[in-house]
Order: sequence, then structure tokens, then C-alpha cells
Amino acid sequence: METLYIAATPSSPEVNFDFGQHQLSIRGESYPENAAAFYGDIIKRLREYLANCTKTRINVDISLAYFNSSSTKMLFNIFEALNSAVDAGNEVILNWYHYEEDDTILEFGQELHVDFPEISFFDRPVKTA
Amino acid sequence: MSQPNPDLFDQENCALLAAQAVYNIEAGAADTYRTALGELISCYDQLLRQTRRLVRRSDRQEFEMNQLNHRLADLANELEYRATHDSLSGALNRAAVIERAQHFLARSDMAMIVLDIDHFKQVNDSFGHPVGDTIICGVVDCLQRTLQTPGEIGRVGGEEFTVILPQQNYLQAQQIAEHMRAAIAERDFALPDASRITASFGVSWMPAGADFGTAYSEADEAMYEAKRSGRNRVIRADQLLRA
Repeated sequence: METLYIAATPSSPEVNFDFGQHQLSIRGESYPENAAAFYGDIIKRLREYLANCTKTRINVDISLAYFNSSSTKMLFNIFEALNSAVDAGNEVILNWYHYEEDDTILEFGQELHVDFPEISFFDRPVKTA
Repeated sequence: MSQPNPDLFDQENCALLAAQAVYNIEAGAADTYRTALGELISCYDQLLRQTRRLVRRSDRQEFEMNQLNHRLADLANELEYRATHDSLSGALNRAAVIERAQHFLARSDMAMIVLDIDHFKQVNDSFGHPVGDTIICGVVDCLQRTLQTPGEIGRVGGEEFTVILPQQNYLQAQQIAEHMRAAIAERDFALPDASRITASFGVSWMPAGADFGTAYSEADEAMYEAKRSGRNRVIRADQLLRA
């Protein structure tokens, strides 16, 4: 399956879904004008990919320094899809990157861990440059 | 089939439409309703969970933003203070004195006092700069204690100060200057040789609409006349012109 790559803009993150390597990453800041439109196609492609995965180990790196409420709503859909993929017999490893001192994003990650228990969650604090 | 405008709640809307469609069936089988209710429950459950997380997250962010806004306001105030005040004495700095004087003169008449500490260089040379700094602060303290009417005190040079007095006439300004002169002369600055500090004063008065430069140079000229005629005294610019 072809890699989905979307370059970052000041208000949207870089999306690099290397489906062939089962390596998915989202990094940057996320407050696009229309989060439903921005994430809609991404989620559609993700679901198509996940539908064809069986007993696959899927690595997901999420490194968002800031994301607004609309993006959060769409991120939930991504995690729902990943959670279902585990139920379907795959393994999903989620690396949740955040700045060490950013408690808001740390706590949000911890809540994801509670809400989507099927996903193997790894908290990855990063030192501020 | 063309894609309608994507919406954040597409999934929830679909679930709602599906539930409505089943609701509109008047005499359906019991498990038709039950299945629909089950789907609605699972969607509702998800929506509730997501909403809870979103609200918690936005509460935290609001709180953080609020704290940052307070910090920003504090820093802006501090920056404004530093940009307009002399760091040693806390009096207005030169630029702020000019700005306030122009502000007053645009609206009303204004008196201006210019004063210069007598023999300050000698005191500084004899006792050192820390003592000089104490004198600067002591003089500003005398000016502040004496000033009972609306006005601003500024340090416009090393040992030179300005007091701007909106809506004060010549006589009132002269009396204020006289009180300031006496307050400085009477103050014990605790100099090592027990000597006293004095200052020479010039006073000017300008009608509304006059410019800062004229007000300042007239008061400054009167102050130099006070120096020439023996120091530790107040001279009005209008007396100077008549002389």
C-alpha cells in the first residue's frame, strides 16, 4: 500500500504513514482550519490499511506539541480505529511524545491509555531544546 | 457519489439518522428496535467519553492560558515601568518626563521646576559613587514627600531633576520649589564629613499649547541663574526676563 505523506504547514502536522513498513507518524502542531476535512481522508486511508492487516505489529509515533479541540475529536477516531485493529488480531505500539514539562499533553496521553487499553502505550517525554 | 462537507460529528450524525429511521418504523419487530438501540448506546457511550476528555483537556488549557495571561500582564507592566523610570531613584526617566509634559501641555497650562544638586561632582569625587547614589535617592525622596499636588518627578540627567506641575500658577510652583529646596537643605544625608546637600532651582510656567522645549529651557536658564547667584535658591524664569 502506498505511503501517505502530507507535509507540515504552520497549522497542520506532518503526516507520514508508511503502510509498507507499518510505521505511522504524526508530528507538529495541529489546528487546521477544518480538522474534519484534514483528518477525514487520513482516517479513511488508515481504515483501509488496517482492514488488510492481520497479525501485524504496527508502530505509531505521535508527537504533537499542540492540538486544538477539533483535532482532538479527530484523533479520537484514529485511536478508535487502532484499538479495533488490535481486537482484530494486530499489535499496536503507540509512542506518545510530549515535552517533559507539558503536563496537559502528558495527562491526555495517560487518558488515552485508559480509554484505549488494547493499544500498547509508551509515554515518551522529550527535553525542551 | 460526491463527498459532502466533512464534519467533526459525521459519525454521530450517521448514528442519529439510523436511529431516527428505525424509530419511524411503526410496527417493527422487537429485535429491530433493540439492535438500533444497542448501536445508539454504543455511539452515545463513545460520545460521552470523548466529551468528558475534551472538556477536561480544554479546562486544563484554559487554566494554563489564564495563568500565562496573568504572567504576561505582569511582565508588560514591569516592562512599561522599566521603560519609563530611572532604575536608581524610581523617578520618571527623561523620555517619560518629556512625554508626560507634552501630554499635560496639550490640555492645560503647566509649571515646571528644574533643579540641580549643588557641587554634586565634588561630593561624588570625595566620597565615591555609592554615596552619590544615596544622595540622588535622598533628593528624590525629598521631592516626593514635598509634592502634595498632582505632578510628576523625573530624573533628566545625572544630578538634574524635573518636576512638572499641571494647572499650577507661577506663585504656587515657586512655593512648591521653595518647600523642596528647604526639604533638601534640612535633610541629613549622613555624609562622612557631616556636610549638607543643597540644590538650585529654576521655575517656568507655560500656557496650554506651549512646547516642552520652551518650558524646559526657561526653567533651566532660571536654574543656572540660581547657581550663579549663590546656589541653594529658587529663581523664576519671569523674574529672570525682567531683570
